[in-house]
Amino acid sequence: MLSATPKIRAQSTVVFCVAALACLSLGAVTQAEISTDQPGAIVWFPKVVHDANRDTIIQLTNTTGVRISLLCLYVNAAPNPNTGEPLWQVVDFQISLTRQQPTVWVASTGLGPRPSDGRPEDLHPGLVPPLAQGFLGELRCVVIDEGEVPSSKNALTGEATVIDRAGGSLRKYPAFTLRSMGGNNRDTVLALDDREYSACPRILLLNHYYDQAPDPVTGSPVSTTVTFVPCSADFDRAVPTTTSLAFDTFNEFEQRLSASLQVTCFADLPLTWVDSRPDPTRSVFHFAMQGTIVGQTRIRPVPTRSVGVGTGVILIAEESLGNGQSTALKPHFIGGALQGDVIVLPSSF
Amino acid sequence: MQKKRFWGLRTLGLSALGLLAWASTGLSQEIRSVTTEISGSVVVYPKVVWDGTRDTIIQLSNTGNSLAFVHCFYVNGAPVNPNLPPGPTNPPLWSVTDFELVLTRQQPTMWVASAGRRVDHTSPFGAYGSGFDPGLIPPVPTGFRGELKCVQVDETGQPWPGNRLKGEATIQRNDGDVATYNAIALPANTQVLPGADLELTLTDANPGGEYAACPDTTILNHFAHGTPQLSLSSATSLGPVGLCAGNNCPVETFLTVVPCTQDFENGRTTTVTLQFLTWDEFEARLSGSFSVNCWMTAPLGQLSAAFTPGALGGSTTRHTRFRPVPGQGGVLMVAEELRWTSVPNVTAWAAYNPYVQGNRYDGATQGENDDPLPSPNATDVISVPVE
Repeated sequence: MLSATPKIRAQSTVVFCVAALACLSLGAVTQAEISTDQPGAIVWFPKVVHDANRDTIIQLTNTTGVRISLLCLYVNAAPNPNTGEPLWQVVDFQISLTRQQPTVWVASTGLGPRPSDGRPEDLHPGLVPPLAQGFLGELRCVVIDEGEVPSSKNALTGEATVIDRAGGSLRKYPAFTLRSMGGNNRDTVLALDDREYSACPRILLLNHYYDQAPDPVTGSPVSTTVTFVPCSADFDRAVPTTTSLAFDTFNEFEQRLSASLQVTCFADLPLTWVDSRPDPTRSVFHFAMQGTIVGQTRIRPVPTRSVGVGTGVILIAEESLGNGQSTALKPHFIGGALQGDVIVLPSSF
Repeated sequence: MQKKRFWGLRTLGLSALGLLAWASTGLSQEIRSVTTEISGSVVVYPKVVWDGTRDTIIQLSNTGNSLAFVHCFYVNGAPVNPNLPPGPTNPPLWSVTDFELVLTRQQPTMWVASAGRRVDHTSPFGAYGSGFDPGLIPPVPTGFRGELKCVQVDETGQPWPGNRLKGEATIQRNDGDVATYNAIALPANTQVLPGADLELTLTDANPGGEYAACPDTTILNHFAHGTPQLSLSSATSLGPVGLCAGNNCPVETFLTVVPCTQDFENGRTTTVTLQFLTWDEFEARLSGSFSVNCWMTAPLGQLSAAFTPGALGGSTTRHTRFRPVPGQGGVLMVAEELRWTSVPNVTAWAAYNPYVQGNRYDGATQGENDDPLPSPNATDVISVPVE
């Protein structure tokens, strides 16, 4: 037994070395992460909503000098009224954008099959289905070529504007883009591994007000809503992805508290529900707990032991400040995910 | 023998750990362009305003696990005569106020531009100013319209390529309306110790440069200036605060531009001439140009008639590419969207960061037909006073 202990330690050390070197090699290839700064071959709107008080304006632009086609997928992740789980209903459609063409539509009305403004047919992007009231989910668009296979063209930029009639406010955010990295194998399995497409972030940083902190201008209490969407998605088999998130929040006293959350398919919730849904005042994100107005929260998707399944997420936050007026917050990132994520497009396509 | 092998393996493991730490550091070094989503060594808030109606809340964070020393500069770009419109005969003030901050590990901090932040260790739990005071932050004067730039420095005040700063700005009207954008970060090369002149020369093709080069092209998706809002085009549609009577509720876009080159040491201003190409949904295109001296914020319709609905085919949305003329340095931008309603004086603002392509040092973007453009070969420099 005495001689076995160092042997086990030695074996553990070897395993550690291999793991460390594996991480090192992954790190070495992680050069470009998901972005909201540069055009990409996949554009992603993590929150699209149409309900009694809110609607979403989608802007999409081809930044290249050639015509491109897009495969777009709406995912309705509104809670199932019976189970509370996200519905995860997918509707896909194809549109085309001519050189340098911008386009826009309102989620609730979409675009008709024919141009309604007298423009030539070839300048009309195509049919965009209108979303039914009660839609809450995401939109992803992938650049495809004439053969309807994914293309390497980093052509797309976009913005989403959520108009809130009840609150009388606008929440506008730039779409996240995933750049093609040149390793496109033209299949329907899109690897977000920094070889085929940019990787999802390893850590997300969100600066926010603690819940119910006083707005420093109006004195009204501030609240934050967060929307998480896993990067991996299997649209072919309609299998939603589950990922675990670890939160570390730092207040202005250099004090750190942590929390965790499991996200399946889509999560749209007040920040305090991450760790204390029944009693928000007990949340680590509550002002009464932290005592400073703002905090910095680091959100880390927890890697799994599964091979080929990433745990990356993207995030958009909405902060409601004075008098119910709100604004969208875009997170910051650190590094690329250690495990590559995968988007599987519908095979019919 | 087995013990010796064990120690050898442990050494190997520790070496791997060290390499892993080095690789992690390296990851943050690999970003060689200006960004609104990664921390950097310089952060720029292109628009800070306090005019009695709109105020600005600044958030700044240290994303590292050690102290971060910061040297910040408020630049007042309001016109010399605030009662007249800005122009060649009414240039920006360009008065600079600087202050120094210290942020502990992972510390976030915030202040309101009009109030600043005092060093007051007696701030009660939960009050404005609660937390470790980062330093004395002066309030800006009423009528302030300009930018805030923060540079990471070491304890002696020398610029330091720590890449630990990130920030957000929220422009808030006194009735509560808010618009938030991310500060623009310039990552630095951690292997190069900069002097008082921060050279924005770090690019993929020049990994030995100092700070990330400014973008060559800025891409802005926006609505034609003054076009009626899409969402108000039918009786059942939504508007910021209800239906729009008469379908006459326009949407307007405001652009704020800051030249990348700035000489805080000698107080010299920089002028950049921007060319633009704008397309509508009908593939129609117009071009134009305008100049920016020191700092500029203006509605697009005021910058050029090309941005108004009637200038092109009347389509609602636009795609505009801005690029400085050859030989001149780059610019940084932020955009704001203003939506009117049929209720007098009731509007809603949103702010957003545009997309960017290429860099002004050695990496031009492609032209409108994907043809290669000549490299701009411009070197931007930020000169900061160092004692």
